[in-house]
Amino acid sequence: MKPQRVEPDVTIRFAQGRRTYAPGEGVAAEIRVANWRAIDCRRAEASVVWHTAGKGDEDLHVHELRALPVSGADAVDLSSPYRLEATLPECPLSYDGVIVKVCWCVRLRLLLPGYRSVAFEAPFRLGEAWSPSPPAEEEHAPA
Amino acid sequence: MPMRSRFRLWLKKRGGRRTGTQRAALSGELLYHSVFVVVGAVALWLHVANVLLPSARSREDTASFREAQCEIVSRRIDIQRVYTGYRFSLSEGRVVRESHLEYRPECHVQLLVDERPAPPVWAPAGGLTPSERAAESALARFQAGQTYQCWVDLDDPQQIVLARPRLWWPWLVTLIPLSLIVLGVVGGARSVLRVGVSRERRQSVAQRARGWESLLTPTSPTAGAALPDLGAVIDSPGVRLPYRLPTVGDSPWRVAGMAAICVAWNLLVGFFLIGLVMDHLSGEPNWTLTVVVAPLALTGVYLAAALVRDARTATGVGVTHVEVSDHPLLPGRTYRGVVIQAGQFLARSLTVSLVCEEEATYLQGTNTRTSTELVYRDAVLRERRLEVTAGKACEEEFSFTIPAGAMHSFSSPHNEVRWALEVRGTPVRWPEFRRRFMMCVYPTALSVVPHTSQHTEGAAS
Repeated sequence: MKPQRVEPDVTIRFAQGRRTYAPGEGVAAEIRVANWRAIDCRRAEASVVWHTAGKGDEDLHVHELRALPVSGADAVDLSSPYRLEATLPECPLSYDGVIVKVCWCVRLRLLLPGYRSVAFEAPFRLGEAWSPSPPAEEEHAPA
Repeated sequence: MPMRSRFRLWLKKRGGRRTGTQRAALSGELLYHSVFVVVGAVALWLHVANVLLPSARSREDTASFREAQCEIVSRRIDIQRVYTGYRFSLSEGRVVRESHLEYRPECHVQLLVDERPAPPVWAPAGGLTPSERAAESALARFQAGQTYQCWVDLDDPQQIVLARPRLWWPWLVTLIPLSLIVLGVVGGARSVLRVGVSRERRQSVAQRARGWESLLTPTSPTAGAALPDLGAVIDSPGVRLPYRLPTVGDSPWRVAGMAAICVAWNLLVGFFLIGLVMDHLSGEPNWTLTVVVAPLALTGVYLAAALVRDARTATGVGVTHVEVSDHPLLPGRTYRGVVIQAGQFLARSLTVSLVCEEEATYLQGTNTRTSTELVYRDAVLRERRLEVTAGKACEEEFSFTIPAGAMHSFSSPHNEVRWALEVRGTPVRWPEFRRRFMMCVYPTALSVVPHTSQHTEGAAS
């Protein structure tokens, strides 16, 4: 009988429950895998990234990347919360447009047996750029 | 989920979805790349065994020969049967030996030793070749009764050769199988690395490489922040205000490109039309060709009309410039601008609008498609009944405000948010024109100090 595949149980919590940050602020998140000892993880990486969504193909930019050792003397035990901190840049701001969206998130990627790679992410907002409204013609007195 | 209003029969796949497991995908890719390696290795072995080694042996064998003079007595092409292996013959129902004919050009030469002719011997004038034409070509260089240079074995004067070719092309041909092997090895290595390396890691390495590259070549300080490059605007000073904005899209090259297409199309159609007309006049009309060429001719007329319209707009309306007081711009702030319109025409209206649009590029199968969406528009100048006279450009000043909290300009490989000032004019005798001028809006918190108006404005005309 085929052994049952164990799916990682991942939680990502932001410090103080915050989900919105100003440009230049520090973001802190705690990452935990409840069944860490039950899964056979080959590699783990925690990152702070922004990516685009919407109609266009996805663009990805990695702001902070941490490779978490899973074996050896420095092995990380993700059954205990792992704290990831990073100072956010001033741009690009989070944006929820019509066909273009810019999304910031904290991401945990695990490489499992059989070359299977799974990613878990928790989104947050950087800045307060407004979502667009339908174009409007406004009267404007010439200078 | 709403139904599509138009059902497309053939729809190319979008996105990076995979069918199957990562392991199956890796196995397939490694098999694909290993085919290149195997084919390249087999081709390399055959090339080395059949071309390079015989050529090297031939040169090695004649390395100790000394130069001499000989006279050609007669010529021939020696035909030899070369056996290459075995195959099963279906017609004979048994294994037969495979063979083919090969040709060697030879000359009967008489060596001149101490001014006395030695007994003539047969000397090869070229190597063994499967091509009879190549052998004849090699033999054609030697004529009976003429004296030629030859090489003689000092230990055995009966061994004479007429040619010691230096072949360079076999080494060039070696590049073909080598390139197949390299392609296969590199491709296989990339497949393995891609599976073992996360997308974030690959992107991080690429970003670091771009950072090193920026140390060698100067780039914009905002190159890694997904902000557009300011160079096109900062490098272009205005005459009334500090910055002249670059035009987006519409350019003289567009009219030139359209003209080239129109001329090429109509020349091709004209070529067919001449023949058709002559057939019709001679009483032998080709109706099938007429039906095919008719829509092409109509298209040519449409292209010509569009070209005339665009050329009239480009030349008759004149150049439009837009200048602004500061750059880059920040949300929540108000700026001054001026539109300078040249030409000679009377316009019903001239409108300047602040616009923001999103552009998304995506791959659909093998096609690259671009989608654009206008997300903000605000008219900042509206003039009625404007007269533009030759020799004196019309200048209209205006002010505009970037909305507080607006998204800044954003540029990534497949997605873009861009701000622009759009000038739209409705001339009385010319077609309506619309021209856009790009500008950069930076986020408020950016530490790069925007360039503010430092210089004195030029004297008003």
